[in-house]
Amino acid sequence: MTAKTRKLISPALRAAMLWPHTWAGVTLGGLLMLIFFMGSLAVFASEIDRWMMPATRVGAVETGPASLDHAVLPAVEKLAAGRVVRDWYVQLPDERRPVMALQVRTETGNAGGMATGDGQLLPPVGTLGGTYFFYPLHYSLHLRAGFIGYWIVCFASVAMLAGLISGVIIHARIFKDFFTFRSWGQFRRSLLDLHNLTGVLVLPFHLMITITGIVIVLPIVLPAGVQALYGGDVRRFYDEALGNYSRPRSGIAAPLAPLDPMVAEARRLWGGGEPAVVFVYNAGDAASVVRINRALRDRISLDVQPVFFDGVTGQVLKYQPPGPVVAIHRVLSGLHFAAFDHWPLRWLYFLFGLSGCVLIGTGMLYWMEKRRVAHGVKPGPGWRSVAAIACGSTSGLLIATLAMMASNRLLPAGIPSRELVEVGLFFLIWIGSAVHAAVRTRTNPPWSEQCTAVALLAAACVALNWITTGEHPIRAVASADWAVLGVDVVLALTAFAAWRVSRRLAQRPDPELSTLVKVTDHA
Amino acid sequence: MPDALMLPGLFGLCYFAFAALALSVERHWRDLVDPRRGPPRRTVFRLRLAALLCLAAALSVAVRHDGTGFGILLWALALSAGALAVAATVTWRTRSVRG
Repeated sequence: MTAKTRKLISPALRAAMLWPHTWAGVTLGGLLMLIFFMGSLAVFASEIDRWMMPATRVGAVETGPASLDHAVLPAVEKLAAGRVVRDWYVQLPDERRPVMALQVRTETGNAGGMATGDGQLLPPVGTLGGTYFFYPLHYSLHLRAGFIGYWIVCFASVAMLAGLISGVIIHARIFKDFFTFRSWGQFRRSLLDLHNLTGVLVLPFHLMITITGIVIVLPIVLPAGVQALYGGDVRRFYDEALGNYSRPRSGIAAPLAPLDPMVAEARRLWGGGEPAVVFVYNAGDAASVVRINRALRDRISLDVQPVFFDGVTGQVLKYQPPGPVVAIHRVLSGLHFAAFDHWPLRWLYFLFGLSGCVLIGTGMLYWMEKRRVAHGVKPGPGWRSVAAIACGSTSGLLIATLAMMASNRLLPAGIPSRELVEVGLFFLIWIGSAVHAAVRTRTNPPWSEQCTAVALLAAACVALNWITTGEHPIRAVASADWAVLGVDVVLALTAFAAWRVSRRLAQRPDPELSTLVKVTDHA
Repeated sequence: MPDALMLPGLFGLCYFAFAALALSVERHWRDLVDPRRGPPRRTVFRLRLAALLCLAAALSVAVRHDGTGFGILLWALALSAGALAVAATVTWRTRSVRG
């Protein structure tokens, strides 16, 4: 750091930045850990889906796209089971999800299901899996009413952004300590080194992912623009800004025109590219609308280039490229979503997402180790509650996630509301491990016990997948089922690492006050 | 460049770039090369120049293989990966030197 910048960042500024950094970390660390961890899992949501939904492991898609008229429409009829269909959509198979996902809204309720590429309906999957449980937990905490979950996550993200920037200001020797991780000596110093290392070296990714995450939900948390220009009419805003199209039912029955020519026309308009999702609104009505979205696998931008057709005549109703502001919003959102097919980038997103967990976790641990000095060997209730939250949001969250995956393989297929039983187990076990952490925290949270639980559960997941589906690593390699193999390998690595950590922690002596007094301040 | 060499080449170049930068830091130079004196000015300059060239080469590899958008994104993330790998190496080597 040069003399000029050193003057720019005065000790007073650094001290002023330290307390919000500390408070934001201690209060929101657990929530941010959940957001970062679930976001990392969401990167591989499709692969986790294959693991949790064995019926959908049907091998790669056969060459040639499925015919909508011959494969999809009969499946929709079967799902509707004689009821009058209002709207439906289908997500077409792709490399990562070799099956179609269908959702049908009828006059008396909704129905959904998966089908193979040629239209064979699969038995109910009985799980929300990665796409419908871990991923929504990342951005909405499953609190959809009034967008309250989005607000909470956005608030935490702004705090994360403030934490990243204030952290850079607090850090006194960015360039001298750029590569420094002293894993020996004082535990507290090692923690701070690791905190600084992940914070500085992965800063570009963390800044990018936090800013783009906030940008995605801006229309929800900053509705002023929509209020002023559209009188709060969100639907009209989306129609104009994103090139959407909607119209009400006419009430006059009319048959649906063939869908395959519409797909061919959409391909022509895109100038190449594959269809990903087909929506039919007001099905069987004279005012029916067909919407076809483009697949995102070859681009960063999240612009799905929707083409709208009249469902009765098959004519194009609307195909409008987004304006400049929306196009930028789509690119920033695409950077966050990583919906593209790029395996090196996908792994980097996953690993750097986990590095965010390391950043948050080491921050909380450093706070705990530093405050121990003030509190002595018998820490007070404040310290103990932070310690319990830290433990519950790291190893506790892992235990809950792994327990849900194990229960996914153990619960019988036929039980009613199977997916909700899994979700219930996730939250019950999470609460249980947090309570365990709170009860057992004396001088330290029960890290070693919880790490043992993580190791056993992760190993159990691999074994259960083998026993219940017969899919062991050698067979996965033989059938090129990389999704399931990848999840199994990551689970096995988790089990191994957690076991090593728990053994080492069990041998670690309790902290003594004599060594605690030697405080090294990092400022 | 053949496809198979792209990723190792990209990560390798990023790793070498940050390894050169790490050696130009006095603490790591003393730990790993010469405990008596820090790196000479001329060596620091050469190390930094080498790092700059490696980073530029890495960017060109990534952009040429993956196009502008994906290339820049991949390069930016590969930088972090290379720097983390160098930090791990420095820790491992220093630890074994210090015993």
